[in-house]
Amino acid sequence: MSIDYVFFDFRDEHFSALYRAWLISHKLSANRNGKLQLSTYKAQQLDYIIKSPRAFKRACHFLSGAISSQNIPDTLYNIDGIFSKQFAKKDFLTKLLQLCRMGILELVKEDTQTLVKCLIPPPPSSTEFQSHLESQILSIKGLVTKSEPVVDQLILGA
Amino acid sequence: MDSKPSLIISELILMGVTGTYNASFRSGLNIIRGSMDSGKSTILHMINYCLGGSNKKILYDEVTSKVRSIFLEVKLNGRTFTLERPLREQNSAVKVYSSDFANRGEVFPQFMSADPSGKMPDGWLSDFILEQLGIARVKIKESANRVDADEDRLSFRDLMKLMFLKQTDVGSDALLDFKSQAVFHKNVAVQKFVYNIHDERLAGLQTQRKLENEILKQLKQSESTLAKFLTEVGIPLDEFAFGDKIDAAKSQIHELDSATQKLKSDFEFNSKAALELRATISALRGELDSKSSQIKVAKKRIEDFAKLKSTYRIELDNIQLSKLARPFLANTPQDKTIACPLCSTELEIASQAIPEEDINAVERSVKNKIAGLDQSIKISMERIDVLQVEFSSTEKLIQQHTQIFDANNLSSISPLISLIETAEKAKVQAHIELSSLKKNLSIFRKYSETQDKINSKLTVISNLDQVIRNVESGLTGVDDIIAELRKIFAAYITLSGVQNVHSISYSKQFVPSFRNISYYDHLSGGVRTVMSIGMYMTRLAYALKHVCNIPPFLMIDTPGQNIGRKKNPDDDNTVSDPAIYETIYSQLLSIVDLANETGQECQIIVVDNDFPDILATAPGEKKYHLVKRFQKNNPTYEKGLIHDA
Repeated sequence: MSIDYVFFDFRDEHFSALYRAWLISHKLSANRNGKLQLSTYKAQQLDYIIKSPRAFKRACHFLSGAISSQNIPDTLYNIDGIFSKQFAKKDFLTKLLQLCRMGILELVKEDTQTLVKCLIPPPPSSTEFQSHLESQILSIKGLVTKSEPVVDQLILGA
Repeated sequence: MDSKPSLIISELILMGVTGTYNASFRSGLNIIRGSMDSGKSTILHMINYCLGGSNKKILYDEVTSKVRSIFLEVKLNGRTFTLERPLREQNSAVKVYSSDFANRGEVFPQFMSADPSGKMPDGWLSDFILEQLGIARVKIKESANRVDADEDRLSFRDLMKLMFLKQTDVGSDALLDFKSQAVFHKNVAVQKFVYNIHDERLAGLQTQRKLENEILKQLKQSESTLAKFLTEVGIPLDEFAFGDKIDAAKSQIHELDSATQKLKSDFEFNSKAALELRATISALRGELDSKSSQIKVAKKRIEDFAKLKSTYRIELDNIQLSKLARPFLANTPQDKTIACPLCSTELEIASQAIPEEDINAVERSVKNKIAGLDQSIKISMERIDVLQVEFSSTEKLIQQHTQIFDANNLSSISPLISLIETAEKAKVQAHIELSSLKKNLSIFRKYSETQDKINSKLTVISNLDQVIRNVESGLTGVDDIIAELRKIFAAYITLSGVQNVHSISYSKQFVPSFRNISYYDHLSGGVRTVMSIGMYMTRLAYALKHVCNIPPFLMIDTPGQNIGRKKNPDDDNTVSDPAIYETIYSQLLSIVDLANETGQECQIIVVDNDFPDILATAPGEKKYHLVKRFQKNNPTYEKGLIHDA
């Protein structure tokens, strides 16, 4: 095996990470009226929140109150702080670019920001883990309209 | 109310620094025998000292180094008294307890002086003894011839001279102070009183009668005052009531003692049980704590397992997403970098893909881990279940034990403590009651002493009345009494074994003669010995036969003086010296027989270094009481009076 699976973070595995970025883009890039609303940075923020159970818990608590976050199980991940690193930002951007190259997404420049547009929908949810990811994404949908610094604060746990 | 005086010594006790020495006596013949210098005579002199005599003869080293006080338990007209005198201090008070030696602590003693000029709260010892013997304290003229002769009051010491034949007096030509005419005449006067010869003394007797009556009146008055006082302060005038109450208090104290003892042992038992119970409870609590922390640990482990499981779950989700996404993203660019249209730079593609050939194995591995965790969580939960069951059963046990402990405490220990407290309080109360009763009893006894004095005084008065009656009616003449004394003495001297007994007479000075030679004029020491003992025995026999003013009591120190004790083979057995010696004892025994026949108590105490065959071979019942036998170099007997000197 070429990978040391003991220390391998499966959340950043190539295909699963691409799939997550695709699904986020598909579910959240446009509002009900079809207007693009998801910036590349916001997409990265949301991806991080979904990956990190603690941040996700905080987000749920922020959006829907304590009760909604009660049943989210604790995990042993400790990745708070990694987010601030510059390469992570670029890392996510490369994922979006790879999806663009495959013709799945398109990055649309609008005013000062670059918005994500999903061209091809991902395969429909047929498994439990797909639906789980989908429901996670939908549960933090409210963050799309929040400003990026607000979401940053949420991620940092401040 | 003709009562004869009686004096019986019961016990002599020497109280010393390191111990006590005692000698017991009985009525009848008492013998003290032993080697020379062993303290035999000391016993007689100590008796004499307690009865008011001098301590001159008893103050020698062995005694003074060991003895502090001398006690004499004596019966005077049937009533028991204990006289206490310090050995050295002749002038100190003689303490008189109206009880036996053992119970002297229960009574207040009377303090008396041994000497007529001494000042003590309860007067002169001699007066007390005479009073108790029922003998009137008459005045004795010191000279029979001079009309203006001084008169002196009769003292018990005067009577003692007639009852104690000292070693130096046996056979002495100075017997009864013959060499000092004034004292000799007084002794004669005393003997006249003893034999109730009251020639020209009627007036004196009547004066005495009046005086005694006056004293009686005073005594009665003080008795009624005392009785009134005692009634007012609530002290019962009945000794039996005291006895019962004291017995009741003592038995109450005894009962309370055993009750508290039992309560205390119950308490000890209960508190021991309680302690054990408490130890059990605390052990159980410790167990409970340990269970609780085990449960906590197990819960924490489950929590950790759950976290790990969620983490693996996320990993598995991602692996499965990766598997799912692969066909749709199969044409992912394989380049190492990708051009960024936004920043116009080449971005490095950092993400790693699980190789196709690994993905199933990785998925299985994670699934296995999750399954393993599930198993661990299950085991831990089961462990928690078990622990929780144990926890609640321990909790239940604690509850039960605590209930028992509380119940035990409530039902036994607390009431026990209060019972013990109550019992102890009652005991203190009973002790207070007892000591107050004892105090009251002592006060009461003081009161009853007054009653006794009244009774003695009544005896004295009645005896005086008798004497006065006799004198008035001229019933008992001097000649009759002298004749009776002569008769007794004649019988004695005839039986004594002395040869040529004839022409026996008794002078009006109470001096016997035979062969027409008076006692004082006989040359033979042996004859004087026999006669002197005869004079004392005559008096004793007379006292047993007639009413007179002396108790039937006699102490003789070494009666065998001047009489040869060694038998010669050619001796005539009936007239030899040893036979005379034996006869002295046989005559002493006849006097004891006479007392027994007339139903009277008499006491003869003889000290001797020899021992007559008649006592050693006395058939049947023992005829004498051996008070002491001192013998040096024989461990069976004490070596002397102070046996550890």
